Amino acid sequence: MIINGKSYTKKIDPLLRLIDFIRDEAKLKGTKEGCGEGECGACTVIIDGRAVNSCLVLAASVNGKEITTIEGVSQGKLHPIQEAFIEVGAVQCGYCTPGMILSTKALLDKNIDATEEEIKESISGNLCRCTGYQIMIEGIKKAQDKLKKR
Amino acid sequence: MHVKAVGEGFIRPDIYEKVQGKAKYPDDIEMEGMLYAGVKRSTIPYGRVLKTNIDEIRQMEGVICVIDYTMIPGAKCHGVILKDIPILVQDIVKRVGDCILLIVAKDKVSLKKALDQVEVEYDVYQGVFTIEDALKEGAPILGDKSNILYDIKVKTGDIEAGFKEADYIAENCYHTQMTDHAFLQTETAVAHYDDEGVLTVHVATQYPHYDREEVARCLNIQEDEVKIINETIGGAFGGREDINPQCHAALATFITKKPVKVVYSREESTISRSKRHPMEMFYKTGVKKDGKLCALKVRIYGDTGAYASWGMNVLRKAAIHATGPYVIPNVDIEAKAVYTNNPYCGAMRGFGAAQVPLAYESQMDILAEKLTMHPLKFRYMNAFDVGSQTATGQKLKSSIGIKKCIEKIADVNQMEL
Amino acid sequence: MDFYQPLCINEVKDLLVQSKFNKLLAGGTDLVLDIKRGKINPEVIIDINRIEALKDIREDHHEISIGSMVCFSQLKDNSLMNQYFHSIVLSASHMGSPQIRNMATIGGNIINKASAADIIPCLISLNAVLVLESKDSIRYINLETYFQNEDWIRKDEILTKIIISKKNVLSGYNKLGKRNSLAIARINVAVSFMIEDKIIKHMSICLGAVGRYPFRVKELEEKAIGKTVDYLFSEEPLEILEQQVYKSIKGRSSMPFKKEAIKGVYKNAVMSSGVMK
Repeated sequence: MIINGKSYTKKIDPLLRLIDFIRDEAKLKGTKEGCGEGECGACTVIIDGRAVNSCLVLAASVNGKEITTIEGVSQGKLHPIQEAFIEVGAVQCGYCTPGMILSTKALLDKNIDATEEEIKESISGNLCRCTGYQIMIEGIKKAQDKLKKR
Repeated sequence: MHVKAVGEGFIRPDIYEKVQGKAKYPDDIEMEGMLYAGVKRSTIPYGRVLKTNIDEIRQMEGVICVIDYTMIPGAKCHGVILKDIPILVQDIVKRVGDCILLIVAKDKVSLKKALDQVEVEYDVYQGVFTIEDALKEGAPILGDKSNILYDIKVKTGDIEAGFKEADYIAENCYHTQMTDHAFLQTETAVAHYDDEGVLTVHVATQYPHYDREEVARCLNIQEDEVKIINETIGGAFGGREDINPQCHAALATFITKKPVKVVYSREESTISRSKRHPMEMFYKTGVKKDGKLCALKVRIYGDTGAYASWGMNVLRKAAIHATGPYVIPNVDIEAKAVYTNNPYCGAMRGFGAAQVPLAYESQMDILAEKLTMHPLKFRYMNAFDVGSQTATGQKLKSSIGIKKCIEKIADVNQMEL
Repeated sequence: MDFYQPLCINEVKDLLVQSKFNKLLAGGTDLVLDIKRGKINPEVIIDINRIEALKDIREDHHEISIGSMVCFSQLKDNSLMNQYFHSIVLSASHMGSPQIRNMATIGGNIINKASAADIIPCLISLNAVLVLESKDSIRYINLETYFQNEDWIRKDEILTKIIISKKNVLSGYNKLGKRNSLAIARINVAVSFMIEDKIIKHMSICLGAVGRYPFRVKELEEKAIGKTVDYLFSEEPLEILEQQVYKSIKGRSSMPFKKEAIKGVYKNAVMSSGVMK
């Protein structure tokens, strides 16, 4: 399995979930478990360009695939989405933030011109109990501007 | 003094780590030789534990030790006000989710297997699940001599005279439901002995100083022998005021001398944690023809569940806020916190002040209709101002924004007040 | 516990015969949870995610065939689906969350046969046919019959395709859930029509989550034939639906609510089909 460009080879229990592989085997702790059943989106990672809940994926099933976790978003320096989230203050407790940023990245990598409706849709699988979402939508719009200027 | 922070936008210092997934929450901590612990919880709401298969569990592969209440060196219960929540039960369980056995295992998988294998035999009692049933004569007594944890009265003026003056009266009953904080990061604690031999617990908590006291009491050691380190908190909203895994992790480390992690699943988190009080609110409000409120009688019953937690404070707050931000000269309010075998209720955003607005604001709308007066105007006429006196006798001296707020709303709606 | 990741369908068929307590892993959104909760404990998992042949949507002269491993995001964005089957697009876009739609597959949704499964009412109303293949047989079963006869997939079979006729139909879908995303349907309704000069030539309506399995309302379908589209918004269809829901879930506490709610969901579904245009 390739996580953030780094290859991991391990013999594993076929029932090991991807989130457990990421956190316990690869020791990447940025991916969070909130509900363990695909409701909250805190464990969102990107596989082949698509956002998925890593708590509903068996690690064995994505054998050989490329996976992006929050640690892979900022390679050396902050990604424009992260910068935008910082600037507007789209973070409170921070537990949903990695998942939220990955859902946003999955959207903007495909559709930089996403409308507000599309933005809302793209983060509809990510629960946040602190912010009320509005500030995140603002952050995502700001990220669009930043990415377009690049 | 010029306070620079007020009115200015700031970038919070912890945000850089959070957007990169680098912020450390308790479950992100790993230690050499760390064990995993978890508790077997009651699956019945009320009854007595007759027997468990503890000896069988102790023999299971990967199980390091199984702890029951007899192995707690100090206090057997904890709680923010009353010490009534069992760390591990002696025999009586009062709610689904009471802790029976604490299992320490070498890894997560062995722990889960062991927890799944625990068998508990109960003598099941008939519990009470509504306020009404809990207050009936002959109901099982869950508290200390009665099912009423707390009872507060707020009275001012002459209630009977007040209602005599009234031209219109609205009398209704309102009900709010139990809610859960559902913060995203489930309860987790990591305990270990630090380099100086101090028992250290890493946790996400709202009260590290309370936690320290509880852990020290439970282990029968001095408070300065315990250190609580508050890691990044994944949401709380009042739900991390009562302690949850802290004593269990500390106890497991105390007994095994090894680092121990306790992680709740979402299910365990939801079952075990305190909730927002469901309330039954009986409201009778009187108003004169000119639109001035003249009398209010309120009876509030909060379902406080199996344990006290902050029940008294929450019901006190409900009673104090029961008039809403309105001047009412004759008031008779009573609020009670009532024990049941439901999940216990405690702090949650608003702390008792969040339930009563449903009742008093609905009453205002209903009365405005009777008066054929615009509801905003009706509120404005009765709203608190500087110099008003609340039902508890407090003279309001400053920061009373409600009238200003109503004026703004009227402005937006282009209406006269 | 063995884990296989076959690359072609024939390999799957062999594995299905060889192993008894096996489970096919499709999108995994249900299976992984069932395993975690200890509901199932398979000896063999056959992961069919690497079989590209099951991920195609193909157009023929008369029909469109959808591979069983097509996920909901694919259905939602696919041009053929958008051209022919509006109800499927609507249903796929309202299913779960973006993450779930990227994983959950049409085949998994059918085989798990949840009463509230999002896509099944659409497929039944479009008269879809399942293709079930095993080492030595291939069966074509109409989806409605599949549920009516409880003629479930056999242990040695794999659902490979879902075939839908391309007849020029209008179709619509509506779902009532407790919240906007990630909600399981409390009620869902799928409709399809053939209309000529504002006259209904054919109607098919399927209700979900108001009974053990989704079912069609034949009485309404028959009465609608030959009438103008205005009939769809008259009192009679509403009364028929109310009766049907009442009959189907009489003993359930949700019945009083659902027999009323069905009317609104039905109207939305009909509107979404564009029959009024």
